[in-house]
Amino acid sequence: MSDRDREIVDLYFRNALTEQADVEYFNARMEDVDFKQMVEEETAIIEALGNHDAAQMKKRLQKLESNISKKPNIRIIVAVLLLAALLAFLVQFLLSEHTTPLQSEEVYAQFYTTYPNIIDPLTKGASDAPSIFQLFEQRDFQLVIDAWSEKENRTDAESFYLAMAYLEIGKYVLAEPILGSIQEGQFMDDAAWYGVLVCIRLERGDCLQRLEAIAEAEGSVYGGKALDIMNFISN
Amino acid sequence: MSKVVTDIEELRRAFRSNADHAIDAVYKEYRKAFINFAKSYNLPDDEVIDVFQETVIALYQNLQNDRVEKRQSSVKTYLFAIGKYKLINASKKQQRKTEQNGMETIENKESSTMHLNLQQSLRKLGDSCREILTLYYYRQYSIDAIMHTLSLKNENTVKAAKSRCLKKLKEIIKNTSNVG
Repeated sequence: MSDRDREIVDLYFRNALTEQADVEYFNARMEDVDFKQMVEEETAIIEALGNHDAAQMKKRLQKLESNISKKPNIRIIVAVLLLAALLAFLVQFLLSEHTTPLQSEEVYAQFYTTYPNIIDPLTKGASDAPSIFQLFEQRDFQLVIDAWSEKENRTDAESFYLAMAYLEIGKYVLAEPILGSIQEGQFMDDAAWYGVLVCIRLERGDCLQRLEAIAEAEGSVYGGKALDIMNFISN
Repeated sequence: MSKVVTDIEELRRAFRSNADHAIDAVYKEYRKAFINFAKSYNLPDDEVIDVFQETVIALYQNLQNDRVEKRQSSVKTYLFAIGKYKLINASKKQQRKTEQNGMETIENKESSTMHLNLQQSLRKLGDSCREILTLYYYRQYSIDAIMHTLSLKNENTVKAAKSRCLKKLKEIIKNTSNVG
């Protein structure tokens, strides 16, 4: 293989054959078996070089693809966060029986009134009771709590006024079980009413049913108020 | 964030300045649109990604060999024209695959053996030789351009290295074929 042959083959692969070189290339290709073989061999090599180059690029793109696929899509994250926020809002909405925290405070403030001391001094029963009911009337609520919170075998009246004292100082959670324990007697309806107010204030789950029960209870003085709350919430 | 290249001429310039960076940018920019475009061909997701990669490689090769037609103006139009053709082929191949159930002809086997030998030989050749040959024969760089790209002493060094590397490659191919 002469240097001239080498030169012609290189020119051929680079599409740079002159008219003269083109004739030389054609003749050599037709007559020289070694020349023909070299051209075929090198054609395959160039193709392989191209394939190798493409394979390197393919590897690069696959790596890039894997990085893109791994990278969390910011739009999906935002959508998931929005969905989670919406879901949390819905759960809150359902649990609070259609009231928001702001509404629950508002409803409570709107409908809560201090319970009067209606106990007749003659029927107070226990010897220390008159003075403690008196304390409630004087709005010394902490003293009422001190006197009755630890007391065993409280009367319903004592329990009810203890719960009222808790409500007056904003301790709704402590008032809640006491009101729930009053299921009969003189203070039953009052306990149910204040119990439902506490339910709303603490955003419990069953307030609406309890309000409906009060509204439907025959003879309850709180039926009208229960309806007022329901209207207030729905507006 | 890098600027989106939408115009072929702009891409040509970006490619000459940094080929890898330009191709990465094209890949990221048109990937999603291509996946949407490919939906009507009913190909599996990984196949669509594969076709897209092949499309970008075809663009890369055409840019490298200056085969992008001058009348082309939009990168997207050009890329999707290549992609469409490749999607049709992939779709037909997918159909054949299910019909033939993976049967391979003897002719295909022979051609793939030769291809494999060449690929193995190129791997054995070493990076610097492979690069010189790729630049000279495949990318058609001038001797002067190779000298500057590879920081070689002078043009004679490039010519000598090119001849030596080609000879070495032919020997490796011969040995690989004999072993095979």
